[in-house]
Amino acid sequence: MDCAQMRQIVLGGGDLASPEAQRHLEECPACRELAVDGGALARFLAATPPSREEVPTLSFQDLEQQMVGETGFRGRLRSLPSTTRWMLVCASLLAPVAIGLAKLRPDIAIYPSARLGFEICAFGGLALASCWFWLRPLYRAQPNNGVFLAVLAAGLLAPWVIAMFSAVNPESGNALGRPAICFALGSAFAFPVIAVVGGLGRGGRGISGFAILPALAGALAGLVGLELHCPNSAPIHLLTGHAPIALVLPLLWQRLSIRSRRFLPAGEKASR
Amino acid sequence: MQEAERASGAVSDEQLMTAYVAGDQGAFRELFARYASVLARVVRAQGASDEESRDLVQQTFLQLHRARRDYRAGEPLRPWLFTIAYNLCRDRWRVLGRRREVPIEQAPPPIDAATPADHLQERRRAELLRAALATLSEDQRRVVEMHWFAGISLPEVAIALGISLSAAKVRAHRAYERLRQNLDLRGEV
Repeated sequence: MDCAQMRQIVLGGGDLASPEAQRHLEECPACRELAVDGGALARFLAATPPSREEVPTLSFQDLEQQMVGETGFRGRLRSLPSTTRWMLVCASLLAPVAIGLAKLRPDIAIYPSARLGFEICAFGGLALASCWFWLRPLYRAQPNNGVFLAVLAAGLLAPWVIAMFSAVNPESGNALGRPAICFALGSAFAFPVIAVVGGLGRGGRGISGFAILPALAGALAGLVGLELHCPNSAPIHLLTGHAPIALVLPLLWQRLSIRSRRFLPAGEKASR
Repeated sequence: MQEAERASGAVSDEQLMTAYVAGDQGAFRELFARYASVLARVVRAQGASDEESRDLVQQTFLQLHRARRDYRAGEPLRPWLFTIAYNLCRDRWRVLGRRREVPIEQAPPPIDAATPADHLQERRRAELLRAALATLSEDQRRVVEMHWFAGISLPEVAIALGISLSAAKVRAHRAYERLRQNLDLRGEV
């Protein structure tokens, strides 16, 4: 016997003493509670819809108008199956890694592998987590907002925290180095990731901070590429040339998103 | 799939969704016809105004459209629809900083002495139920709303909420317990 059958018995005033019914009531706390007082609560719930208020007229034509916007390139990207979206996102996240490996840092032999592993895992893991929130379909239960905010905060702060680790080889060369070049390089690594991740989102979530997820994922992926390529581990260099990528790009993306929404029709705004 | 066949109700929601994924636009229209009002009612129960209800229901179907290629034939569709609607509502209320309230202008009209006794009773029971539901946690309320008012089975509710069937039953049990206590106080049960 399942809960649906038990519900029929409770609602119909059927035999709750039967061995089958008793077995189910022993196993199912929900049905057991429903059966209390001879099923009075079940009958009340079944007979009492919470609202008989008139609902507003809903027009399929209005929906069709919104769906016209789904026929373009952007619409086709959004409508890709989630497995395909994930494959494209992972490919984009691996691109900065591939470039970093192709132009590997010259001090790789002396740079502590545990530290490098930690940095790459931290940035890579947070980039993946950002993508997970961004791509999570709305037909799935959404995680707690606290978890989302924790991942967002970690993604924004991790580059700064890691930048403050002590330099591996402090005596070699100019500590400051060329932060502008690293900033430009890391950003260049990030832009394609941002474009792919951003384009594959299905929108619909208007919660604070959600809109910057593609830029955060891109920035963190860019930092992975930089970690593999740049030999300067001096805090002053990392704080001026690397970490700001994870702040500037999300802020810029946020501003661009707000500006582009101003020019959208109302229906499209709501769905972004 | 023929229009008449769709509209007759002989075709299940899952068959309609499968047809829509295959390119049958009429199947999507039929899904809208079947579920738009139900979703609007659920969304209104969360405290949405008329305009918000329209917008949230449209957004629900738009998200369904975007996610259509994720759909596997035979998978229950109702949990998808209601989960999307609930997620959109939750985000909207979070942005607006709104708690689940029915705006004053939407409160049920005053009880009219000339209304037939059964309508009076029904309205009173609906108000009592609404008040009792408001005392539940969001998790518990969702289980009750989806199972009792949206017609979704407990296994489907578990899928929609991303929890195990046991966890759904525990939430239902706690919700019923609380409802019985609150409704008992008014001598309705």
